[in-house]
Amino acid sequence: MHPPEDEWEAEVDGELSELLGALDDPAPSVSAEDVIRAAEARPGPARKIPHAALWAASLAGLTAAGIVVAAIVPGSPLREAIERIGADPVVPAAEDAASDLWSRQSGVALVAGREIEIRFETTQSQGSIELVAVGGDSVRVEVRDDAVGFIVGGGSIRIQNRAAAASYRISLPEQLPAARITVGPDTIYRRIGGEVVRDAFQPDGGFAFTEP
Amino acid sequence: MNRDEPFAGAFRRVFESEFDSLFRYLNRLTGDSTSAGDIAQETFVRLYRRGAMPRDTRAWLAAVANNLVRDEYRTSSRRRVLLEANLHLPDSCEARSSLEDELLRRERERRVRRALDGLPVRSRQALLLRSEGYSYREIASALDYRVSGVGKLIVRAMEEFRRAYEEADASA
Repeated sequence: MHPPEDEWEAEVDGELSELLGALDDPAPSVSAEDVIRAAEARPGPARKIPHAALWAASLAGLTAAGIVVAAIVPGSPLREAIERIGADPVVPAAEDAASDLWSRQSGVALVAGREIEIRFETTQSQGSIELVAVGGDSVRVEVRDDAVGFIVGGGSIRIQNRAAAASYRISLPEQLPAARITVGPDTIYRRIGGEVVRDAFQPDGGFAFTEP
Repeated sequence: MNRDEPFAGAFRRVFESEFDSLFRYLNRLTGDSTSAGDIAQETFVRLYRRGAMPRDTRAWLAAVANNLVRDEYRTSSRRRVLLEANLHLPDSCEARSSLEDELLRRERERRVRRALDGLPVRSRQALLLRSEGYSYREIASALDYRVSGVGKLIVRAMEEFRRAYEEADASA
């Protein structure tokens, strides 16, 4: 049981703040206009997506990408192999070969160990993410009416949502202890120790996020 | 990339109200005012380039700044400049009382820095964010931590900090 927040005010504002104040230096004299100029002078889109090398690798790796596609086809031998693994590492060795490639497809699935991170590379201003709770231990990310780039491996699914307007459905096992979904720099969903953290960021604008 | 005026106005207001606080937090966290200034500015550059205010702006700023600190200290050779390694005392021609005051101030800095450095990173971050007036909810968001665990984290950090500071005080 932690103390109520208001009880901290006096304590933190008192002795502790005085002690910590011994470490302070004057803030640099920077204005909002300086920062705006720096931001506007920076070339390119607001968010960087992947390393250029990944793009080169993705062109050279279409064959390997096929392995990932096979992994999501229900009933395929590779998919069954993934389903059998059931623990970290979450992807089989064959899939590791493709894990550094963006594979353009309409969905991926993997068997999660104890945690999963689902990362949308770019902030979305439109579209939606629908999160649904499912039984079993397979995490699935599907995009509706579109195909986007995915990287699967190392306990994470990365989505190259460059169109930034598509709609997604994420199936997350109810029993998975830890999960995190990020869109650009924002965390929109977190589950820690089986507990859903309700204070996560919510997306802005016309982008919708629904959870169970 | 000119932003619309409502956003630019909101950005300026957030900058005015939060920049010094974020710098102070980072400076206390890293012990390196140059890095703290760079990271605080970069955090606001990213906010501007984001083009929209996050729902919880302060927590967003702290989370992004923490990530930048982590990257900075992971990928570069820059390391914290500890205060005790960088003592610049006043010239001997200064009054003796000023010199003694300065020595006492430096000694206090050293003890506080040592006590703070002894804390686990997350405890240190929570304590410092709290000292900047962040709510439990904002701290939980910034540190990717359970809200229900933040109070306990701060209690423990306070106890450890005080104990370490008093030990340093007693041994001085």
